[in-house]
Amino acid sequence: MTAAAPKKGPAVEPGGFPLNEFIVFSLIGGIVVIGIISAVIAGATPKGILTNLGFYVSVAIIFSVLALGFNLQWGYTGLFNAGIAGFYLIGAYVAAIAITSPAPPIVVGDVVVYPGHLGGFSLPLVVGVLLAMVAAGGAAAVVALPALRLRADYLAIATLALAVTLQIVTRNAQNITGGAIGITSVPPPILFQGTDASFLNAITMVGIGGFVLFALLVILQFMSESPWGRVLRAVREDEEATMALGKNTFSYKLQAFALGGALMGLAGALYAVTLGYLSPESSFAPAVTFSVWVMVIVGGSGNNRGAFVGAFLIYGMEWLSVQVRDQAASGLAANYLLMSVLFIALGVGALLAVLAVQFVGRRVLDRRRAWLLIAAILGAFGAAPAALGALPIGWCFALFVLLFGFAFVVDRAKKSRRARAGIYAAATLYGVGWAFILLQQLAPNAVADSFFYIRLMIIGALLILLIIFRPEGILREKKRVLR
Amino acid sequence: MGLRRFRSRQTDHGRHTGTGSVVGGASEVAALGASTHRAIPGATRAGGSRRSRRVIVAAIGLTVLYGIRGFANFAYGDIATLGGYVALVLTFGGISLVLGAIITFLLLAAFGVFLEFAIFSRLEGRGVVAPLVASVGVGLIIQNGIRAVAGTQKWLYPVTLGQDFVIVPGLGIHPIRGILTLSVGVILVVAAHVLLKYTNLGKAMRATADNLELAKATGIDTRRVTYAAWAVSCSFASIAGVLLGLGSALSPTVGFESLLLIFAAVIVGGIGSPYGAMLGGLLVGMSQEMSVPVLVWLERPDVLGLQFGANYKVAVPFIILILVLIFRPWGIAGRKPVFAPRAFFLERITRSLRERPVSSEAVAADREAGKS
Repeated sequence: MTAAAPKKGPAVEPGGFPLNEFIVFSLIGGIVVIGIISAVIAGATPKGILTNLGFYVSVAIIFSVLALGFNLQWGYTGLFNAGIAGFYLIGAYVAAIAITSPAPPIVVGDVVVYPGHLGGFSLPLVVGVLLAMVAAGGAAAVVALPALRLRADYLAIATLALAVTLQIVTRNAQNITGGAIGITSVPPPILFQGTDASFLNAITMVGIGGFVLFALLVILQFMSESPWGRVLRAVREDEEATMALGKNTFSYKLQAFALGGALMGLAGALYAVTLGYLSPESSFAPAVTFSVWVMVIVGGSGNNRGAFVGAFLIYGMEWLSVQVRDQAASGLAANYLLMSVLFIALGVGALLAVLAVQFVGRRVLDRRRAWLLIAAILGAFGAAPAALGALPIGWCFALFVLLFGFAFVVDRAKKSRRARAGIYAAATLYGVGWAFILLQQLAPNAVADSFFYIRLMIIGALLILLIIFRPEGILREKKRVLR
Repeated sequence: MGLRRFRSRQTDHGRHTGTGSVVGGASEVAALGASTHRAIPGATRAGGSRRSRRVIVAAIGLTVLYGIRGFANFAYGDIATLGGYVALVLTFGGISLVLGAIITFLLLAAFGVFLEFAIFSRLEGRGVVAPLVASVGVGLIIQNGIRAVAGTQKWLYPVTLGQDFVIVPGLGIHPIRGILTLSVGVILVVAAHVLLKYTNLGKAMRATADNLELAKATGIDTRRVTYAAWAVSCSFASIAGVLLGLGSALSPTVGFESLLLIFAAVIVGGIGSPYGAMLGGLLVGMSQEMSVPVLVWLERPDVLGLQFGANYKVAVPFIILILVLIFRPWGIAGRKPVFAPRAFFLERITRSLRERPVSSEAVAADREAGKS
């Protein structure tokens, strides 16, 4: 299908520098760095920052699992699932109902404050996760059964219908799912007490999620390289030819779709445990499905590594936008003055570094003396704000180190492609940082809210642009069996 | 006046779901007021036909595009929403709603042509999934653009809605929601019929939907037909959006929430068949509303004790969709396509369900007929 669209983009020469990988990973790194810097400036404690980062990583892992499931369905087998959110929801609710303790309805007078929910079976986490996988995989198989023999768009419509219907049913079936309030107090894997509980919890979730993701990547890699995986790819490329080879393609498609659904259920269970509460409104909206599509397409469909890179990248965008919203809402504009001074200094300093490298490098032929001169110029520049009292001395030193490193990269850029890529990445980061600062300083809350909508619009635009210009994704499938 | 009415209904409903946001089928319930909850049969039927009309208009537009362009346009609901909002903006500019709707009709037709020109023409020959993904992107941009510009609150057209004409207690006809939308719906359906049946363009459209290659070979300018299909489709969507806004209130997701119903109507009717879509829209819309009494019956504690049963009616199109996909995926009016030739157990089951068990008398009668 689209995954196998004709290739004519610039080929990555074997053994050449993987520019795309470099850009993608530096973008992820940039997201983390900007997140940390903004949290530092907003005055968070190290533990708070780590908790927040842990949350980012564990939710990104959940999205990676979703993306891996979708990649199994679409990337490998060519089955287009438009109802990822539905299977995710099934997994989350089944796991939550299985592992929470009983929650009786709360009625104050005549008003039902909390409708309660089904279950309270207090089962162990592993059992809950397995149940979630079985339920979501079963649901996927049931929906796929009538739709798989038809064209791909029937499957898409049927799964979208399932997702939308499930969301509405979840909102209304109060005695099963807790209605709009949802299920609260889903127990974490290990119950911590005291002030550090949330920090320890985040770290545990990162550990568990990381283990699950690693195991999945290994298993899926083996599966996709096994004869089974080869048949899936054959089905994607040419179903009739595969059928002619005597393979029961329907059964293979059903297996792949159900397995993908089970992975989505696993993601849902992880989500329930990570957040500790569930509500049907935003976590399982159709936008989740579309985000996962973007993740898989950005990463490159038919490529497990790409699926999880895409998840970290796209969820990183969302995480940053949440940070912007929260910090803009809590009115930390004063701290951002410092940030913008630093960023102006960085920009001017970078310009100075480029000029210094150009002029000094050309005039002073002795390399050692040239670098000493550049260091002196940048050092003077770094010392100026400290002398004026605009920046603390530690920041100034960091500024100097950054600028010196940048000058070094600029010097190498004439010869090395890697250094040029580094400059592009730095420029991108700088632009993103500025957008971030301006938004936090200038945005009233309403604009910060519309930042969310703009994020979804960006996802839409990405979908269109990627599907038109780069359907094979940024990191493309490494091994092509049938080509 | 209209706003107050709406608010009171919304709060009335909000108490039921325990949430302030009225989403999904809930907005329809809000629009129909308490009558659905009480499930007076007459009111339900009136609601059903009203619902069906919006679905029919939208479904004709979608099926025309689906048939000719060959992909499921997931942005269709959002295009309808866009139409509703464009008409809203025009009415704020002092234009009457009727004129505004006509201008919106033309604007959205241009928008459809633009979409094909800018995005979808690049995706021709790339299978069914690529344009589908792009259409989702278009939908996301429209829906969230509306959210960012107009906010998430609900908007009502500045028209006096007036009171129901009460025919019998419990069954009334609303001058705008009942009569105006009915007439607009009928006019559009007739217009679609005339366009498809009696004009050269319509004939070319039907031919292209039927068999693209053959149409090309016959000398039909399929590119022009494609643009025309986009124009017709998006302009019908705009009218559907205005009708949706008149029926309840405009919100950024009002179109997306109806998308499922529209798709069900299109598939039930058979993809690419406008007459099938009319029938399918009627069938799906009516069955959704007619399911309410059953659901209300299920609400009774001695039956199933379902909570908010009437809200489950949104599941009805899904059930219909699945049933149609199992038993008759080519729909009412569509032609049976060539599917994967291998029969598997589900097909065997459906086939055995379709073929009635042969009784010995029938066999004997057959034999008699064969002899003579």
